[in-house]
Amino acid sequence: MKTKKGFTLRSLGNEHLLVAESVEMTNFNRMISMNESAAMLWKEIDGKDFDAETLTNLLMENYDINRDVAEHDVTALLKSWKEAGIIED
Amino acid sequence: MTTTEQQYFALMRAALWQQPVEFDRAPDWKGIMGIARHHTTEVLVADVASRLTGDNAPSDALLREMKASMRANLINQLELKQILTTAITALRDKGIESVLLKGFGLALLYPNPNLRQFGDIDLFVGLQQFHEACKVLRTLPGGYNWGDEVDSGRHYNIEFGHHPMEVHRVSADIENPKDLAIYANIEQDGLVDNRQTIDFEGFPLPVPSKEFMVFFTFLHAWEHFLITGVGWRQISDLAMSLHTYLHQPTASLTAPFDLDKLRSWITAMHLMEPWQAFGLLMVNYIGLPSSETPFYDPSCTRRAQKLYDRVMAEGNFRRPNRFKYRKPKGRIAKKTHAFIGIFIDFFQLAKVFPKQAFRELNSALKTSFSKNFQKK
Repeated sequence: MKTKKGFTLRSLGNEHLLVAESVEMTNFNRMISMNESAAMLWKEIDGKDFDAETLTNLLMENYDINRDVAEHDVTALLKSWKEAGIIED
Repeated sequence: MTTTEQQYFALMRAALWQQPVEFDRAPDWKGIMGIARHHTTEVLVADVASRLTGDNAPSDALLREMKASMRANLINQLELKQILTTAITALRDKGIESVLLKGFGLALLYPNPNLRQFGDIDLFVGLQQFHEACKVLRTLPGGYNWGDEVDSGRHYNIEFGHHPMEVHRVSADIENPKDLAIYANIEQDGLVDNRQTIDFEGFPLPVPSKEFMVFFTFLHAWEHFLITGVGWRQISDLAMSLHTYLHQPTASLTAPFDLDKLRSWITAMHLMEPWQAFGLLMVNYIGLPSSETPFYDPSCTRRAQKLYDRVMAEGNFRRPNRFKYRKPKGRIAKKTHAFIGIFIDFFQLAKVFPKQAFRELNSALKTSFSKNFQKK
């Protein structure tokens, strides 16, 4: 998998927003709010090839959680990212 | 200074220098945000405020408002960015060099550029390329809706969707012919001979030389002070430009900042006293280190206090109308009205900067008489 081009992660206050850079794509619906851990993962994998294992390892390295919890969170996260159309196979 | 003002400046310093913020008393959010809006700094303040927790945090309703204003500003910036890069690329393709004044050029000096508010694009192309540049920009493809085209002496206004762009033949309104001649040389140095290119998220953005950037930012704040009211946004811009260029030179800067050049420009335009008063405001209220404030003079406290009072009262573009009645009709009445206006401006300015007030009065009277004779 890899991240789609044309999106940039921006931080405003305590919000992390993934925004579409092009005017045609830009409106409030094209701003995807991410929590702290999702934003961290996006920064790490943006522009690179990755898979679920990559994200799981990153979560375990950065947060004090076990593999089962990390895998569960990554599965949910990848599903939401795919639905939002911000990653591709 | 009121407690609310102290709290506003604490938040501004936190935003500009990425420092934690501490309050002695519970924040007066309504008052703070009122000041922030008055000075077009609400997004900067909202960024810090929305990260506060516990008793100091804003209410949920206010937080929602803050998030909405930050998001709206980001959307606006993204739209302006696309217009700007499209325009500069189109001009480059036709061999026309442009330079971005203010806007993103200043925003990029802030710790988080997405927090600096601005509503338009100011592109300098100079006298020689002016008509060709306007022609290129008018015919730019891309389905943009060009609006009304209004020509002013200084720039050409183009509406790009709902975003205005000002294409500048000159970068400042200067009436005094002697000052204008001096400024023309400054402009040539900073916008033509020594302009620089900085990286703007992968796009090569043409901006003025660093000395011109600082000088022009100050001149812009001064013009606001003279005409419409200056806010902490303009003063923060000046602080950020000084901090960037004097404290932490970036890789794109090949030469150290030329302080002698800056001094000669400020002196030549007879603006050292205003410069020093603005310097004290930046140091005392928004935390610019005095070591990064060239020609710093801590002795001008009375003048700085008067300037502070005016800044707080007027804000960005919010100077109250100097007349309490409507503009009169009839040729003589209109001219008398304008003449009185010149003297009201003089007395207002003389309270803070007497020398500059006499210079402005002299220029305004000359211009006024010359316009009247020309019309006859």
